[in-house]
Amino acid sequence: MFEDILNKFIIIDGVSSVTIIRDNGEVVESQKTGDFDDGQLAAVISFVLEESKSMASKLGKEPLSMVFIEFRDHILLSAPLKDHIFIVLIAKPSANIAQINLELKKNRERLSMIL
Amino acid sequence: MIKNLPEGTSIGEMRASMQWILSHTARFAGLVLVTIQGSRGFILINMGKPLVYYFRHGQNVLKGHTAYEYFQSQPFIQFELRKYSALEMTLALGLASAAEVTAVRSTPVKPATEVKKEVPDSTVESPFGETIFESSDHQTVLSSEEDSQPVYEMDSTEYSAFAKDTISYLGLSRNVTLAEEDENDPALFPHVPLRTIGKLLDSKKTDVGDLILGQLINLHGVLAVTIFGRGLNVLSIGDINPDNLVDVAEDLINSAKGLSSVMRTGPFIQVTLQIPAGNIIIAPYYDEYVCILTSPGINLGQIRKIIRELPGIEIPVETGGEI
Repeated sequence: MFEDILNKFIIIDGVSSVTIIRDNGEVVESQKTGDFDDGQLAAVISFVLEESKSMASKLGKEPLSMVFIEFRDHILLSAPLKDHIFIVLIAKPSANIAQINLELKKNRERLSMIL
Repeated sequence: MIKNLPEGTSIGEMRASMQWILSHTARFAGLVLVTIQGSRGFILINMGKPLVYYFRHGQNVLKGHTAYEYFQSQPFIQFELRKYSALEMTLALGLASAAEVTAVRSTPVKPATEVKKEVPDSTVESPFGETIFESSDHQTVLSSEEDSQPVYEMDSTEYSAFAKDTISYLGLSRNVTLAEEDENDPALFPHVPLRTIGKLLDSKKTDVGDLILGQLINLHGVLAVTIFGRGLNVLSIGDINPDNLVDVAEDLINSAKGLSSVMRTGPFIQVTLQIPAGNIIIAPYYDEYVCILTSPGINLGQIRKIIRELPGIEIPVETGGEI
């Protein structure tokens, strides 16, 4: 079931990885086309998400809906699925972010139900 | 005039002589807010070069060389250093220049190489028994008689051109008429809302970075823009308390940059956090960062496009669309 849903993301042109992680950096599920270490990546991303939550809470104790980080060669999009669990997508800057976001909206609830 | 100057970022307060101030501000760009016996004045300094001297005591105003001499005559001056960004410095010079344009509109500009001892145009007695001189020439080049070293240099031709550019840059009319200084220190011009400053910047294609900042604050849905760096808030426009954000924003940027250690990301361009109340966007801006707060419905694609044009970041390849 996980694989089917994650596959919907990985087939989007430009998406190089989709990972479900816990906020302690543990990888729950992952699909990737790139050659990076998703374990290390998850560890770093967990720090980013922690800081993101801190920043969001500074602005009125609001829950984080999504984190979008853009570099010259990659973009990273992350959204919480349920408590302490996030989906993280890495894509090329040329990827259709609107399409990724749409797919995320469509599958977020299903993913959170499975988890 | 003082109350209209950009607030800047306070670095600290202390007491020192004028000579000490000038010799310790070589790397400082901003405002030295001076208090002498309850009256206030300022020195606008750009990297060790004093650009404007101003002091007001009651109805009496000292400017230029006269103000400088008055500061110099004080054994110690109570002052506060307020760091300015490039934009704030421009705004401050714009205010000072607006006053200058009105006050000396009929005064011919002196050659930059001219060195002369300033002859005061008028004198007034202060309640403290001091004789205060007021001069109409604020841009005189002079040398210190004490040590024969240049105390400050002011290329009046450059200054005049810069003043014109600044007035134009700020969208002020060349014919702007200012209220008399002795009428309870009125505003140089009516209080300009920060959003209007953004519009002024937006309408004048003088500086790309500031122009973009002006565009940002005027975008529908943008609530606030703040510029920060090295733990300090540099400039804020709109409804924001930046002090709460600076530290955590820098931590967020540093952790995001940590991704580069795991994969070849290329230079950092921006981070956007979405919360139900809106979006927080942080991107490099010159050597600092700009943080943009928006309402939930803003077109993020539009902001991303503008962020791509901010100075200080590498232009990426074309991206796929808005979030």
